[in-house]
Amino acid sequence: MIKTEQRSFNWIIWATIFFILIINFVLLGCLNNFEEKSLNERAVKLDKTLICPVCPGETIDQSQVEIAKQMRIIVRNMLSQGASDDEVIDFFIDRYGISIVGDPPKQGISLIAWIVPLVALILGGLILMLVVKAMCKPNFTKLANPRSQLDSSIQSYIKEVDTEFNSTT
Amino acid sequence: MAELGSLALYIAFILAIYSIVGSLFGVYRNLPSILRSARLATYMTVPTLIVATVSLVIGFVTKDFEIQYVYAHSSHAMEPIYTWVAFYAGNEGSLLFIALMLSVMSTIAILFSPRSIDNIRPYVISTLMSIQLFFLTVIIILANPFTKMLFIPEDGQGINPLLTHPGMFIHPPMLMTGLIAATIPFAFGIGALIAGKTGDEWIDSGRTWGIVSWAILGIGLLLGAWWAYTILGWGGYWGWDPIENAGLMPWLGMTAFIHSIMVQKRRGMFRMWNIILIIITFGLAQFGMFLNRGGPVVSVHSFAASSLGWVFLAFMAFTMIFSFSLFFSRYNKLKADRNIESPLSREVAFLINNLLLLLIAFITMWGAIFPLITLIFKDQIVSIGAPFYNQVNGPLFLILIFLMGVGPLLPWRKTTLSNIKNAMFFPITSSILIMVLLFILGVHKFFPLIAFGLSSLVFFSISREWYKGTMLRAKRSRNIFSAFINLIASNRPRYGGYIAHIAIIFLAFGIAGSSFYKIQEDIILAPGQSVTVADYDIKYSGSRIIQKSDHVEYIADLIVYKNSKEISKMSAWRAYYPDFRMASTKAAIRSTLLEDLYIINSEFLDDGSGVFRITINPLVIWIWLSGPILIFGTIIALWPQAKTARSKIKITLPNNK
Repeated sequence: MIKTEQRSFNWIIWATIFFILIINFVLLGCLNNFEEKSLNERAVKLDKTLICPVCPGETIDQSQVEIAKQMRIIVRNMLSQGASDDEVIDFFIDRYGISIVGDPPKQGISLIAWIVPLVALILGGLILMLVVKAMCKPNFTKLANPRSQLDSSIQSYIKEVDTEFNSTT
Repeated sequence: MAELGSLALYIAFILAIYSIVGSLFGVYRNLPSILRSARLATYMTVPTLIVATVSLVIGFVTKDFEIQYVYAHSSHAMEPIYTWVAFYAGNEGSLLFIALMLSVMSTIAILFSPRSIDNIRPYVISTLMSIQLFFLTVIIILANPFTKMLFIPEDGQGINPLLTHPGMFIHPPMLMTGLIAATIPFAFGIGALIAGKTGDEWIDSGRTWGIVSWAILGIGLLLGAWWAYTILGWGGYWGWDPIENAGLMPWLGMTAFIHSIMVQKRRGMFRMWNIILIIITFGLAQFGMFLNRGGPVVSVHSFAASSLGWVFLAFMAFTMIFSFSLFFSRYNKLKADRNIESPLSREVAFLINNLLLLLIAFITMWGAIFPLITLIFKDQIVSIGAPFYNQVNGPLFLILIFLMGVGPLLPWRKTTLSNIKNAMFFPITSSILIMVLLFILGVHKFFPLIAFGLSSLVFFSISREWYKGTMLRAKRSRNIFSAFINLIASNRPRYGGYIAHIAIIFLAFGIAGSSFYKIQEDIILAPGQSVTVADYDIKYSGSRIIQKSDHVEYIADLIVYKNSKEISKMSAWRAYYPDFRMASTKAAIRSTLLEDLYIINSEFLDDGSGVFRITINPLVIWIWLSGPILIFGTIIALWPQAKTARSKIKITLPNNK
């Protein structure tokens, strides 16, 4: 019984670590967005979001063709006239359709593009947990692990050896 | 020469068929002589394919424009050194190269396979040669490099100017070799499955060849990034372009495989999982070839695009169905005889690593597929580009780096809380200190801060392992240096792996720095005018125009000052190829360990002034430095273990009898 408690405790450790990591990402990621950015920084970021309409798969930041240059100028003009990032993006979506942005909007059909990775992450994590749990079957471990059959007096000694061994390797 | 080349291809085709039939028949009837001849037939495909390759090379060197492929990819004006590049500039040549590489690696793999896989080997051979047969069939029927023109043209069409770059000499062949190398470990896995020897016989060969293809693919990807950085003229090195992704996906799969195979090697577990992983990785490599050969997605890198892609997709579907049905038919034989003892163990850390790597590969693939889905079902065009991948895969990569930091600190089997505290105290506190220090020094952006912190966590945990191990050995030998060498020699897979981890944190370091702290200015300069970007003063001193045989070169000369001291003269290079109506640029780059000054000239205006993009890319050089370290780590990990331990057992065995 002690063993199973220990095991669920181990699970809690993994879960906590990843929980803290993810919370950190979300929280600080949000904070990051509030940071004041210079006009040039915002423009470059938009350049990297907008896909050049005539050159396959390249952003207007990458592309050297005429239309990409003009789009870069439009982006800068709009920003200097006080447009927000979203307004610039909407301006281009209105004219070219949503294929103009490299990260499709998180709504409508293109929401699926964002949901599937999340579902895959959760599903993968769940399957992994179940597999590990199944592979941790205690009765099997007992057979494979003769230590558990030793009497308790020697257990404490083995534990000591284990800690000694683990701390050196 | 064309006739000789064609003939060689047919002979290779027949040899491959004989090799398959002979191996299977030899096993069925238990005829060692037939088995041997089948094996020799496999070896013989190497010289025959070399003859075919040399014939094509001679066609290029002698400018034999009667051969259609030579006509399409070279010209009299082309510099002779680019013959090597022209060879694989199209489908026909690159497939021939792939077939040759497959034969060479198959031969080496079989020649050096241990005796323990005697029962598996015939099936490995027939798997390898079946795949070779597919390539040869495609080459002979659909993409024959020796097809002749109806007349002999005066001059050829010339080589794609984007290919005339030093990076092109090794990058495409490396990538092609890496993709096809995934076939070798796959064949060992499938061979073991067919033979029903589903134990640990195949894993040594599988691991070796897994690491080989992983390293080749990794270096190929790095060289591709370097090529894009110096020649595509946008100041970046990775754009999540479909062809880049095509190489990245199997690399991720192979990374998962070479980790998880260690669990089977050390603990005898994950047998089923390793087979599944190598099948998936091979599938991803085939998917990569499908994208390369003209898939449905467009890319700046695809030079050999054609409708051939669909043949590759069909073959991929076939091999996947075959492999997985085989897997399920052997399902019962694949059960492990040992279990996981605790979720808090290295085994489980490896599993989480596998999950994350496959997840990133899946998302990358999803990004390639999703636009097709919306196009077919909703008739709507959606682009999935770099911003999507950066947002979704970026955090997953960071978690992976975190795992790289804690994984090596977890022992096999199980551990206790106090042990973990003990092991993690130094690395975690040091990396938090590093983060605080960086924050004080002015790194205020979130992702780079986390990336640097996690990279330092990996560094400190590896250092701790090295320090502890060395000190333990130094107690005995009293010489710290030799103790350190001994430590690495004692467990090469492990310490070679750590060196590869160091290469990965170099990569993370460079990527984090250059993607979040890039400074970019687009500017027009008149001759003699200068501009200040960060702490550089850049003066445009003038331009030169040079007429070459097949192109015109435009060179902008710049002088760079820092603290009003001249530090360097730079030249941004650009060329126009009238035959192709194509322009090509080479950036002027000044690299230091801290940052690259990167200048591109995109055009000269009528009044003599030039249009420049001036970029400061921090830490980029660390990305390129990771390459040699990665190779070094791979060599250590693959270096055969010293024989002493084994021979001792051999001596004691007769005594026991």
